[in-house]
Amino acid sequence: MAANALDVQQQAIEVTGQNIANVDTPNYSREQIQLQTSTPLATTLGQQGTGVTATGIEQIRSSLLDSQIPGGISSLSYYNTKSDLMTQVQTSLDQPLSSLNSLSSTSATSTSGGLTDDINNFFSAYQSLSTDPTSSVLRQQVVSSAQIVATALNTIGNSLITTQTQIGTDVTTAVNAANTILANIASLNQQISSVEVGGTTKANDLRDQRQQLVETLSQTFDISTHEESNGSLTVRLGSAQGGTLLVSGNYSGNTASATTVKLAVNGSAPTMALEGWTGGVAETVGNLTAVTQPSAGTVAAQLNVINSVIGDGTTGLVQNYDNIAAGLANLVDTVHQTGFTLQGSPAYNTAGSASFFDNDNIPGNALGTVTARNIQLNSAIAADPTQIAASDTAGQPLNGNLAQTIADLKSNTTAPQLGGQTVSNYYLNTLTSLAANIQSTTNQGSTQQLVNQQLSQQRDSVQGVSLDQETSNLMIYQHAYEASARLMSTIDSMMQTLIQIQ
Amino acid sequence: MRITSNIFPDSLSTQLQTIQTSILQDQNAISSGLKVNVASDDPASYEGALQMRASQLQTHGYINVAQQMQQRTQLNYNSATQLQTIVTNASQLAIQAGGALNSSDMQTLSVQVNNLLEQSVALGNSQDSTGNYLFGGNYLRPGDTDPATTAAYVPFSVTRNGSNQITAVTYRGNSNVTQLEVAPGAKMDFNVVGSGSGSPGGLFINGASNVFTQLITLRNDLSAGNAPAAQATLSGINGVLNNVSTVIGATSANLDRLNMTQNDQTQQLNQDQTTISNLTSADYASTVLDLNSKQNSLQAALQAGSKILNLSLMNYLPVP
Repeated sequence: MAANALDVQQQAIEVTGQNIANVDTPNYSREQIQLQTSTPLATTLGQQGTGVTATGIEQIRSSLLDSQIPGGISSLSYYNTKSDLMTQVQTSLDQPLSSLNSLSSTSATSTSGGLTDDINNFFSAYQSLSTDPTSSVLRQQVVSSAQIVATALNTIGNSLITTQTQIGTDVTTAVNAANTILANIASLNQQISSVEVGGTTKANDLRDQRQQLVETLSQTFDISTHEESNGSLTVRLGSAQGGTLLVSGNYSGNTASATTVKLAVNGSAPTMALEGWTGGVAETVGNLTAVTQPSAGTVAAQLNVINSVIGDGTTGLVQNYDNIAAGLANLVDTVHQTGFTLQGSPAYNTAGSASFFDNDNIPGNALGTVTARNIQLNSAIAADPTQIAASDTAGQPLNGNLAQTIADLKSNTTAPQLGGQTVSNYYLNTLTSLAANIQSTTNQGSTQQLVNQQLSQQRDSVQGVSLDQETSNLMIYQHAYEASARLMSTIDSMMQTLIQIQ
Repeated sequence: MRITSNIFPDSLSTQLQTIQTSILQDQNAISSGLKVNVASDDPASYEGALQMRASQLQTHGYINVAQQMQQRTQLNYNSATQLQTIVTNASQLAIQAGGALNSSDMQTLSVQVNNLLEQSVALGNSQDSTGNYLFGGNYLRPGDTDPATTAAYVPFSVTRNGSNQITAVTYRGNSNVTQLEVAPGAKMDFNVVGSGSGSPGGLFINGASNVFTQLITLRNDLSAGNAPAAQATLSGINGVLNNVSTVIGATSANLDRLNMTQNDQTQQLNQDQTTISNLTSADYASTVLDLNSKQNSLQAALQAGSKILNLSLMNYLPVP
């Protein structure tokens, strides 16, 4: 009995040692040895105890918190990633207030205060031209300010597309990493079900590793999990009902099987899709099938920024900046084509080559769709500023009425692309809408971080290791071990006494 | 709640992160002088600041126009007062002709009037610093030539007799007055035309009031020794003088209006700058106080953390 007790206490001390050793291991759940009295012996006096026995090593974990935490991680990851990416996009729009210089009644109008100043300086240059339409200096100022606006729009338009492409690369990387995690979860499923096949032993450490992988995966996108009776974990993208199956048993994207899937990014406006294997048959590479789209996690945030925030010609910032370029070109060209150049010629050419702003820089080509990326000053005007129309009447070179009319377009709200707003206000609304989105997302992220922190503390409270508690247990088990040893030495002493009597 | 070994350091780490982020914001505000730099710092203030900026740039544009207009209007005013002097002198000469003058004296007066006529034509063809004619309307450009004669095209072209005296003056410009916007919706006359009707109309020619015709007539009458005729031109000259005075009055009023407009706009510019500053500039006093408070929080968190994290039952285990 004493020898058995020594074994059990030693085992208890080893379990305590395991807990102490893993105090900082991520997602480690503390273990506890299960002790109970050994089977008693029947005697004439009644049942006589036979000591202690260890019935198992139990892992203390809360399946409820384990299932709640990945959702919180996905949400936090979504908000943080989206906020960071939108802040990057905001930086690329190049309109910090620190770049605005102070204006006085005597300062020059040429400033570098972002697109706001560029647009206003363009209209101001036209206003100055109205005071002296024959001035080559003022005409050159109109050319320069128009080129600055066009270049600023080109830079921002291209920067948005570059950012979009970079994020697209990040999505592919994240999805590839997720596929590896899915394969590892499937592998752990197989190992866990093998260890737990008899139903008596729990694969504690393997379960810790699997939970860690699940939480890592949930940073990438929102998943739902369900533990099967054999201990394996079924993982779905999105909700438990109807979500796309990602891992079932020991099958995942990297194994050819009837249930395997592999996530891929689909198309130029990317969405998540299945690739590679369906129904056990290898599909042609690139033959993609739609899946449930992630609503949280890094990938959901990246896809949202790519497809909605930055967008394309029909949505998002790309559309907004295209509208600014097209609206500006529309307003100016509509007026400019009615005027007369310094030589008195009509500015408008039926071939459309004399439009003030252009989209392709091909003389003679009719004005096509103007976008932020392609807007430019008509090359004929850039080369010869006398081609700028400033007069509204033929043969009146000192007439600056048309220049004044174009300068007044800064307050014009009729451009169909700008939805009843002036160019400046439309631009300002574009910036502040993005800013409000960033602020709201950042606030949601802060709130979610508090929720996650509470959940994490609650789980740590249940399954985390307390060194004080383990030290206390260590002393208890040490004392029990010492007492068992004392019992053995006492029995040994009794035996010695008995032998000496003989 | 069961407290485990990692709850303290995890919680401390999160708190330190929060406090340090906040300190960084204060530090940025103090070093840049701006509490709002990018839109997401405070969208409402940012929007207000950029709207004020657009307003400032618009005002700045109007100030530039007003400055240009002031230069031109001052030139118009100076020319008109010079013309007033010329016409007044002519008027005095016409009065002198009414006295008992001999033929020689009349010739002398005639020469003086001829000089006044030449000065008037030169004044009518004067240019601004960029070469634009002051009184040609919006038709003529410097360097334009008459297609028929290839002579230089000037607002007032003259015909001379064998004695090289001006016998006729023809207006080549037009009567278009350019109006420029000096404030939203407010336009002012930029130029004074050489010839035109209305009030104020052309400086030199306004209907029957024609400074050149009057001076040519007076010179010819004086040259012919016809004192009564010379004196009779006085009423026409007075008509011219009234017209010039009307133009001077209108131009002078424009100068006053331009001064007031520029003062208002400079004030508006400064007011907008103050609004931008109120919306975006960091309040140093409160930011520094806030920074001190956060530094205290950081120090307290670090001290509490260092004390708590050192405590462990392990420390009290007997050493074998």
